[in-house]
Amino acid sequence: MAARPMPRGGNANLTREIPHLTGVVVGVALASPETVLVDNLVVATLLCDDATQLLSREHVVFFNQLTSPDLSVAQLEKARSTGDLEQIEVDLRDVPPEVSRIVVVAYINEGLGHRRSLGQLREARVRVLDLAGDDELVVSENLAPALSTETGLVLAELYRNGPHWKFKVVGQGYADGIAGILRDHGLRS
Amino acid sequence: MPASPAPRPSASQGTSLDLSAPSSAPAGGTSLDLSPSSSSGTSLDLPSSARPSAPASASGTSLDLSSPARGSSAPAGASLDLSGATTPTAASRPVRPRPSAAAGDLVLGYAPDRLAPGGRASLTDDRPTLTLDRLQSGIGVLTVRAAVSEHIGDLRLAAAYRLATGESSVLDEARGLSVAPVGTSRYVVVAARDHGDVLRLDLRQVRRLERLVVLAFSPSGETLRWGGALLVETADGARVDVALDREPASGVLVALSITQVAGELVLRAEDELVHGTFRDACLAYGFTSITWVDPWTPLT
Repeated sequence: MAARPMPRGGNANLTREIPHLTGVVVGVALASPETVLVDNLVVATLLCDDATQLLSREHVVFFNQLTSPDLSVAQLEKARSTGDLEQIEVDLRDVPPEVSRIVVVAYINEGLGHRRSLGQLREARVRVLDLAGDDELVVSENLAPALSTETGLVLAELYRNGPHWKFKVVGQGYADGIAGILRDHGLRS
Repeated sequence: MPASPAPRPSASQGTSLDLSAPSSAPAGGTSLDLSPSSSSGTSLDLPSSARPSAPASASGTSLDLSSPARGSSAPAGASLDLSGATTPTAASRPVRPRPSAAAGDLVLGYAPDRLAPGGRASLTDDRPTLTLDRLQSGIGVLTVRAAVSEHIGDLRLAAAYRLATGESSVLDEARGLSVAPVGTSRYVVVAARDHGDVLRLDLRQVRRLERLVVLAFSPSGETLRWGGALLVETADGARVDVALDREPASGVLVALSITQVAGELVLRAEDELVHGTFRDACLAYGFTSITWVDPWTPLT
């Protein structure tokens, strides 16, 4: 697949176009000149059913819970390649059948009184690499210019399509950060 | 296409080993740290309730998965069981390391008491300990504030802390010690005045905190008519309260400890009055590496 930036709403059928694909790395690049913002950015991955509801509180993979219970989704403590703020490894073969959608989000942790918004991001991209070899398969367009006062953002999702896994760029912002994102995915934050 | 079993670079091999550590740690780590500190009554009750929660389900998974892997004479059957319908050609995949009692890992069926999302709970003599899950312990800010009337006297809050780096000191807003760690721009804990004393833990950095002990005391050294409560609040609106009732006395009340265990914050009502100074209370609770200017003032 050509690495032409994919606009929001665009999708790709990963495993149909690359039949030997067994795992992917989702790389999230978030950049801003505001270091206080970058320090408080969090990337999380939500393992959801076919109604986009989280299977449980343990199915939120983020810095404080680096793997899903089945270990199919794991966030790296430190991204392996430069440019990505965070990387999430997804072993597509190990994803439990009840998980239909794997949603990658970013939010600002409301910390000790630093009010920031995602509008201060200069770059917000998500890309998919082949877990075997790190070849870049898809990269999204820069989602940052469309952001203003949001504090949460659904970046993209991997989802089942029959026997295949597809990838879609979402780019949907949330005014109420991770609380709103978790609420829309069936959880209280 | 020969579905090669993803020969990942050696760096990622190391990474995946690193990642499995936190997932195996909670079962052993939590219960190890909890059992010595929780009262005997609680720990007797807890193991019997075999509710499958975070650690229990992890160990259940590992049992299910490792048993087919051990029967390696039938690899095809094993791979079908493991990965569902989508992978017909994954026979020779290496099995990822998972915690297993048979392999000598600590896999205990210990399910700590939890706080329901958005719920309310009180720490009592019968149940002095509650464990926040990794979302409650990792999202937003955890606040600890005193809800007391003026009738009590000049009660103030302070805290002794130890970070994962080993750095240890005291937060005491009344003496101007209001941020931890000192000398950085990323504070893990902040002590402030906001309709009374409040301690705020930045949970984005929860892994940097090892332990925090909340102290209640009178700056003037007067006898306090103890009453009211500490309120601990999570970002999702859940609240834990810790009663401060006891006979009038002077001294430093060690009211609450907060211990980070593999990303989970364990709250425990300590409820122990130390007849002495900050230094006495800190030494009694294991904060032995603080250097003191005087018994109420740490060297910073």
